[in-house]
Amino acid sequence: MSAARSTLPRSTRKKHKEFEHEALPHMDVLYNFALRTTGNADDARDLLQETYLKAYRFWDKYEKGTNIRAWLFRIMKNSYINRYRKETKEPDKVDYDSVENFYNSIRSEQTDPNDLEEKIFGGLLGDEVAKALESIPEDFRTVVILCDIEGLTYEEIAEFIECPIGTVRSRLHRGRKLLQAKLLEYAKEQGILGHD
Amino acid sequence: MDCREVHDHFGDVIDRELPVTLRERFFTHLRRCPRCHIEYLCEFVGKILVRKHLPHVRTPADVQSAIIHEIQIADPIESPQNPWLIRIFRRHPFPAIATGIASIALVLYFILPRGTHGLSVAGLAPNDIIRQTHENFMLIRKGELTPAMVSCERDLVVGFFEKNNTRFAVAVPQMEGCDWYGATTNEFGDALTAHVVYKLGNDYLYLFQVEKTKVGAQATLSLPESVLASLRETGWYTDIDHAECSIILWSLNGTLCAAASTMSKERMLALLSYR
Repeated sequence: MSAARSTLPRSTRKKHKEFEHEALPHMDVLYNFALRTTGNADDARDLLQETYLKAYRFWDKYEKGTNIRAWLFRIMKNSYINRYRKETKEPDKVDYDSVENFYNSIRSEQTDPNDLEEKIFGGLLGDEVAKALESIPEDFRTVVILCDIEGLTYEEIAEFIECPIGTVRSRLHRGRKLLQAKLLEYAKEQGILGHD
Repeated sequence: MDCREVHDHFGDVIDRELPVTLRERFFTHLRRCPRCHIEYLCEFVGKILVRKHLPHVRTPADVQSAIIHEIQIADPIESPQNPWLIRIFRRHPFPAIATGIASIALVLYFILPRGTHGLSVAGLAPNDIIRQTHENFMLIRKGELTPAMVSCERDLVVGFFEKNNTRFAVAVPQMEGCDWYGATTNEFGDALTAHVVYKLGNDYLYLFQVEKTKVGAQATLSLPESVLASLRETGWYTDIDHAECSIILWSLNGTLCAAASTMSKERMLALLSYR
């Protein structure tokens, strides 16, 4: 091995440092989003890697002082669409009848609303919740992940997905309704809830 | 507030986005309307379930390291420009080579500790530090041993060891031109060991460190007697005859350090002479 080693140019080293300071601290948020969106650790790893490589290549395009998290998130979203989403799914229909029946059954059985989580969904496993989340259409799933897992505010989510806050609100409401319907299905399959 | 308005605000209440001025009216309606109350609770429970079963997780260390590595190799590496050296070699190749050889010989004469040996790794005890260092270094090069943390900042590596409460002074020499630092700790028997990896261009430099009291004939980790003697006499020991790397050992402030690298021993010594 030669004593006169190859080196990175000073400008590249500066770019590395800047990138490390600004972009790398947001890795956890992106990893979680990738994990919940793709549904498995291997794909999440690939997606995260691709996102950071792209971000690094296009670092000169990032406007300093703007929301870096939102910028990284958009790169990830585009990468996900290109890599995994082969076709746009029709948004699932909420089975309102099923949800409606559920509300009525709680009322008729006089279930204490405060014990709802334990009584109705207590038997559900993490895998089932993950599966339910994966099953809902991407636009709704995105806001649910950003809000419920990442704890972002509506304003932040709006910036991430480049939509008005009203859209965030309605997608969140609809996403949660879809999730609820899916979780009820699982609860019924397990016999926690009686079949209609 | 009627039922429709209340429904529109479910998410706002759950996510604490509802203006304070509307809260009272919202909950007054809920108290009067069991149907809305149940629907509100169901939506709330949905959020609780997601948070409970799908918690926020940390990025695995190996994924983190892989990304940093990918970024490091994403840029083309440049060779250093030495036009004056190239010019001398082009014009007067033989005197230049002869002078070079003589200089290297002179440097080696002065910097080589007298206790320099070459030990066969296979013949060493499993708890031997030279063997451990050699094996770990091979795993690092193959990418099978990844550090728990990677950073471009030396201070963050020092902070990592402080946070991990290493009970001995871990040396993290500052290295000019280091692309990134990696660090991890683990235990070998009752000895806590600290590991630092430097990525310098195409080379890796690995440091294995342990409290000196944990090394000896009756201790958890061992070294051949000749090596211990050299360390006692000169403070250094160089082990240069491995095909894959050079290994240098030294002790400082109660810590025994072993360094392995593919780079030349002279360069290693120059980089590690941080005292």
